[in-house]
Amino acid sequence: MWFRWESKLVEKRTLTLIALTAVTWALIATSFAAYYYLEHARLQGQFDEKQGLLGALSSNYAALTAKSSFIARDYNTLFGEYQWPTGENCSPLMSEYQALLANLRANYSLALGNSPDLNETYNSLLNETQALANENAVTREEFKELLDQFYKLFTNLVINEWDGLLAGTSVIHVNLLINYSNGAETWFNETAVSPDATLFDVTRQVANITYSYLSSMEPGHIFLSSINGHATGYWVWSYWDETSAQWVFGPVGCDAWTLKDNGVYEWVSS
Amino acid sequence: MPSLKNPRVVAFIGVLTALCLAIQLAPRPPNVEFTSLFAFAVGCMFGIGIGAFFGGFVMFVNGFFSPWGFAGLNMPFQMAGMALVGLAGGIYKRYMRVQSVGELCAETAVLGAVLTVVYDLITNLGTAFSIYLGMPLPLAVTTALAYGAPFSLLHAVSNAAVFGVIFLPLLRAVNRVVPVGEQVG
Repeated sequence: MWFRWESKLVEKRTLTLIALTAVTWALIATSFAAYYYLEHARLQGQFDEKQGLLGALSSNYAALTAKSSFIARDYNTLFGEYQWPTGENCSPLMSEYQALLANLRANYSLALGNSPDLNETYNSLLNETQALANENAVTREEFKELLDQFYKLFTNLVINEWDGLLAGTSVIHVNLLINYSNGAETWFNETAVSPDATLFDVTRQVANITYSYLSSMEPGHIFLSSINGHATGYWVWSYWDETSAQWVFGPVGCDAWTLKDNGVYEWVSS
Repeated sequence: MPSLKNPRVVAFIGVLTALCLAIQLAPRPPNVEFTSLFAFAVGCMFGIGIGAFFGGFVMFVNGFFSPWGFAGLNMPFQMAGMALVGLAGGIYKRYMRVQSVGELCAETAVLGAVLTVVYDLITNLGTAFSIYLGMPLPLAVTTALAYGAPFSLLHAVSNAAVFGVIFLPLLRAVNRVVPVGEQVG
């Protein structure tokens, strides 16, 4: 009844158009509401995840700082004793140095376990220390060399642990080519790694490798012997230089080369 | 109703199809298109069957050559959606009446927006089936509709403008080439 009365004022055709407009508006508005709801849920999820990471960061911060301060304090004490003019023979300091090295192992066992290259460096330093400890006299130069090596290793371990702590907050993506030089090659595109990862890390992540540790080679001590069982010749690496648009031969050991986002790297069997 | 036995009519539909495909395949902003207008106009001029066939055919070809890539599983939905627009043009012809230019433009603008939203609804269902496979269906449909909303809005607004502004001049121009009915507006 009311419709008949209304239609006298507004045409039925006009009412139909208004109704269609309203339906169109309602459909778009509902879709937008769903869009904002889903986006809100997605962003809330991201926020919660970042909040969790931040919480984990702050709770681990104190532990890591305390640990590194503890080792640094002992190291500085020993370094102070070394600096004090006590003669040419540093043998009396060797027991302290060994204790320091043992403390380093105890406090950074996780980082050493996760980084074969640092673990190799530690073992090499330990062997050298034991060899010197068995001698009657340790010169100041020899002891200074031990202190320097310790400090370098300690710094690397601290950086490694900090990087590990921050690694969860972001990732980068790299592309890795393994060229077996027999016509076979494999691409590992968009491989997600932590921003502190080295070429050695990503290679270990995507392939089975064997390697040698060369203490005399610096920076980087790792020399790959085989990738995925392919051990013919030796393996060299290059990175793709976007500016010159060509492969550039790797200037350092693969464990000393940190990766960049969207970087392209290559292993070639020669 | 112009007969398909008339070679002029057949040639005209061929030209219109080619023109429509050329525009459809040309680089353009996403969801700004003229196919809906052409399908609606063809339906309005030549009837439900030809309008629906025209819409479906154009989307079939577009599905292969679109600058946005192969339509894939969404193609049948695009074809059905555009066929519906052509069909709506045929139905509209039956209810069309002599009225002022302003009224006709407003009416076609509203119809353009409505048909666009219906088309997007159908193609978003297609997206739900083709992209969000593996999700529960209601969630897939909701997600497809939700993330299609900004594009739908742009599509509806642009088509409302296209229908409102171009439909009447297009009909008049076509009437001069192929008489399809009484003069409107």
